[in-house]
Amino acid sequence: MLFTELRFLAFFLVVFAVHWTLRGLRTRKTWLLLCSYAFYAGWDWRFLGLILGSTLVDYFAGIGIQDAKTDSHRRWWLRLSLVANLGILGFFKYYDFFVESAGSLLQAFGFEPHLSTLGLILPVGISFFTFQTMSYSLDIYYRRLEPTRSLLDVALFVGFFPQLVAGPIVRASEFLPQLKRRPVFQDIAFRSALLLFLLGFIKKSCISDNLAPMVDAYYADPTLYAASAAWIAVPGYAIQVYCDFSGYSDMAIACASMLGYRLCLNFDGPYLATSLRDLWRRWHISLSTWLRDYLFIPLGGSRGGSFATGRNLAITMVLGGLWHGAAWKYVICGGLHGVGLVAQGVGITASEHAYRRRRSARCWPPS
Amino acid sequence: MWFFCACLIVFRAQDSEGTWAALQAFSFGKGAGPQVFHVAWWGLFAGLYLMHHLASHLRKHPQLDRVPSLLFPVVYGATWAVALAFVMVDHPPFIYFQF
Repeated sequence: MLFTELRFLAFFLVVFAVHWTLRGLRTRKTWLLLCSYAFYAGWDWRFLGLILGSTLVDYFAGIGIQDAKTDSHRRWWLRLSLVANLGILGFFKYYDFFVESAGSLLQAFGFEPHLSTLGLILPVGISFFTFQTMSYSLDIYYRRLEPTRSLLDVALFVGFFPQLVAGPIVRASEFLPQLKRRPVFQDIAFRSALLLFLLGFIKKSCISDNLAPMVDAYYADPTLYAASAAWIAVPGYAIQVYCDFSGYSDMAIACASMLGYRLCLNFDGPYLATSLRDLWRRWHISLSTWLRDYLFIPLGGSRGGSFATGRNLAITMVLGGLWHGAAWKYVICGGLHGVGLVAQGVGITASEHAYRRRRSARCWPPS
Repeated sequence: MWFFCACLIVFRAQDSEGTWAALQAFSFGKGAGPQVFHVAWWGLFAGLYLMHHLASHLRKHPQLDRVPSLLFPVVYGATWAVALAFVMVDHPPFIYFQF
């Protein structure tokens, strides 16, 4: 069920009407959780077990980390959460990719491997909800968040239907406190939410979907086209992918807002960016800040000199690329962005040094 | 922007041959084939860029909230009607998270 479909409108109207009719906070949350699971089951009910499993693991891991007497016990609980979530993601999304890559590598060395792939269906939204649940355990481990003892709250945090299949990747520290208080109908900015939903719909259905045939035709075989066609199709794809994803995010934020919950902004005018670094601050913000907080900074961040910073940035971007899909092209794309960001960082550092040198040459005493 | 588009070619192309052909055409103007797209696309892109700019500023200055209560549903409904006229029904929708 896509947000742009008529049946979603019917689904959402029922959810909305019943949600605001119910009085108790716990009843409302239970209703939203049931609706969220029904929404996910609409895609494929067989994978509901994955969300339930991931929720239970992180619920108990969160409490385990908090209640652990020693640091080694805390680490054990965190590892359980990471292994479970990355295991689910790795198995369903990357198993075939790694097997095929290993097979190709062995063949290149003259071996004849007999590796079989599983041909698994990719569960919808798996990349989003696994990252979301991992952030819950990691925040508790780093003592940025107190675990909640309410399984209902954790389950709704993981499964809340507006952001379940395509983000934004919500942080527990932003969402769980919202579940403690009862949303008030009069506090909802309906006009803004309705406008955001309409804007998202226009981006997704009127712009992105209409660009798709032209872009698809070009990328089916670029060798058939003249250079002028590339100058239309390539920016066309940039617009298509932005309008699709940001449109979907806008609709998710609007739906959540109409139910009384606030989701973070996911895109902030990325094509108005003045540099690659600026673009990554504006593009898929929930993913780029996730990668920054849970990968780049734990790797060492920008603390260990230029080389270490560049290395950490490159690793983060390569893994960020791999997150987008199980294929080498995504890894290469992430790597290119890493190289671009490192090169830009080196350029900025060099220009700052040059500026300081010029400044010290002009000033007395030199700084 | 060129760099971002070049990365998107790698992201979107179906094979290495297609990637190379699109990169050469986009970066160095070396297109091999005869087929072209209508230049009107550029006009559309310019309009979309303008909208992108305006939308980014409107979010920070929500003057739209001051539209009178009676006018809002009329304008909102009319915009939906126009938007629905542009919805494609004969093409499967592109979904970012299908990756």
